[in-house]
Amino acid sequence: MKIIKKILSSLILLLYAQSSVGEIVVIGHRNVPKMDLITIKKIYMGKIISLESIKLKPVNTKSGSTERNQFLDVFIGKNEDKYTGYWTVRRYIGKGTPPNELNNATEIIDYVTSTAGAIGYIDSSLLTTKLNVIGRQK
Amino acid sequence: MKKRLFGLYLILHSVSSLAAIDFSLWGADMSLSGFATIGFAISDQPYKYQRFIDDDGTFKRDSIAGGQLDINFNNDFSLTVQAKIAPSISSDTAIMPELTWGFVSWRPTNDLLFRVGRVRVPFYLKSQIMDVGATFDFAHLPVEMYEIYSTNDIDGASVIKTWDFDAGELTLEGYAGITHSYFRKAGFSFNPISEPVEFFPTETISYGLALTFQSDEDTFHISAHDSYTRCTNCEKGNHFRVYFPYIEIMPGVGYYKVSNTMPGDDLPEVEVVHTLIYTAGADISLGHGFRLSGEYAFRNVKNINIGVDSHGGYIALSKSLGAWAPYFSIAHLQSTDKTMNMYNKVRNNVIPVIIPDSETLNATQQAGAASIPAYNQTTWAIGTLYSINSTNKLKAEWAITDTGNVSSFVDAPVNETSGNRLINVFSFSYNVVF
Repeated sequence: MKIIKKILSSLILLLYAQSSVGEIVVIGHRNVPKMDLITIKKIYMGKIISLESIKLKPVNTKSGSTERNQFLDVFIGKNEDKYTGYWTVRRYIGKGTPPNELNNATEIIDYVTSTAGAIGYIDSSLLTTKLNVIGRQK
Repeated sequence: MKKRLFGLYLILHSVSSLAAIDFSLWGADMSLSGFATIGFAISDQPYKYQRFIDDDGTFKRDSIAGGQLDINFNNDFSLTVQAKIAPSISSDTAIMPELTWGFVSWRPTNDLLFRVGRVRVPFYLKSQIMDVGATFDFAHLPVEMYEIYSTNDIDGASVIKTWDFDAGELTLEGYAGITHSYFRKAGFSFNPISEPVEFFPTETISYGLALTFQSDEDTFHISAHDSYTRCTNCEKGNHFRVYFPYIEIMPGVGYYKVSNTMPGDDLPEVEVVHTLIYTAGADISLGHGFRLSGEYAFRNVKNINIGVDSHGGYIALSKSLGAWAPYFSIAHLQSTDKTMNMYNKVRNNVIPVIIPDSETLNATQQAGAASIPAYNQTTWAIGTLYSINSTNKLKAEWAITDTGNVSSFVDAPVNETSGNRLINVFSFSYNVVF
């Protein structure tokens, strides 16, 4: 009985941990304008490389991260396998390479604030007034 | 062998040297990726089919390894280099390194892309990814469609214009360029005449247009191509034969002159073969995990009667079941009437024994027919893909080919033709991208 309780409490903790990731927000360098979800999707799928004469530099977090999975689900409408598969084909048809990958939110915030045209995404709990939010999930 | 190893060394060294350069100093991003397929295919027949397959089995038809280096100098300019190691196109025994792509891209706006260098011609739905097995479901792309033309890569330029709609992306690509390849002439043996398999170096100048619509779920593709091919080391009398003239010996008896060593005027020939190619294809979702795909190609050789004129294509139904994607396909390749008529006339011409040296003359007729690149074959295939994950995939397929009247994919045994054969081919492969 104790074992079952332990398993159940572990499962509840695991579910809580999964759901504790807050809203994902898309942030951009201060020169990047606000945009809708469709535009963000096209940027992360390589279909848009510049916007209002600004050369865009999107970045992802590493494959498997909770933030990335949630971003792909909400903003791109694909899971990790589909997204990787999409870029594998796109790379081998000579239409570009997937966005660069950074290790964590700190690296993304540093990159976005210091690089013109940069775009990334973070958990909303990490937002500060200095960050330029360009898109949010609806 | 030393030359080939040196070539391989040069390519790998060049790619690794490029990879070793710190392009970030110039504000460039660099990414190196690779792909490989280890594929085994075995048939139930002792003769060669599709160059390599027989009942001993072969790794040569499907195995391939390659790498791609992408350097993005900035959002506008990038360099892409792709090299592969695969069975040679100029020999049935050699494995050769080859530079498949090497082009500079300039994308001045979201919807315009210019490329200069060695680029792939957009013939088929899967032209650009046909070497990367992990990117499609089939264990082997149907030869009835994907072997219709040897010119897959050109040294030249292409322009791609994209229109972005809510429903998907429409792409128009135009290209022009030149390619150096080889034409494989099947060997034959009809006592007392026999010739080995030969490879003739060719040079092709081509240009064309391709229109592709791609949504999240569906792809539609049409294309048109114009090409001019010449044999680069053929001397007069050994270029592309226009037709085999009939020489009458006596009323109702005669032979087709299939070689300049036979009596009569020289065979009519052209130095340059003019070919038009049209393709159409679609890959659509039917819902509930079902996908329907199909392609069709028409080759029209304008100035010779014994060329590769043909209609080819396939239709396939697949179903996604989690990691599995089983499929069923039917493919057919049919030479046009003018080629088949010439083949049948020569193949069925019999010189009676009352004519001196009739045995040799009859052998020349069979040999002449065998030299015509004619096709009348159908293949049914069932297979499945198993995705270990998004970058590692296993595939298996059982294909049954009926060669019909004739199939130039078959290297027929001594004193036999390629027609009326049933060939079972089993294929297994492991495919990876990294």
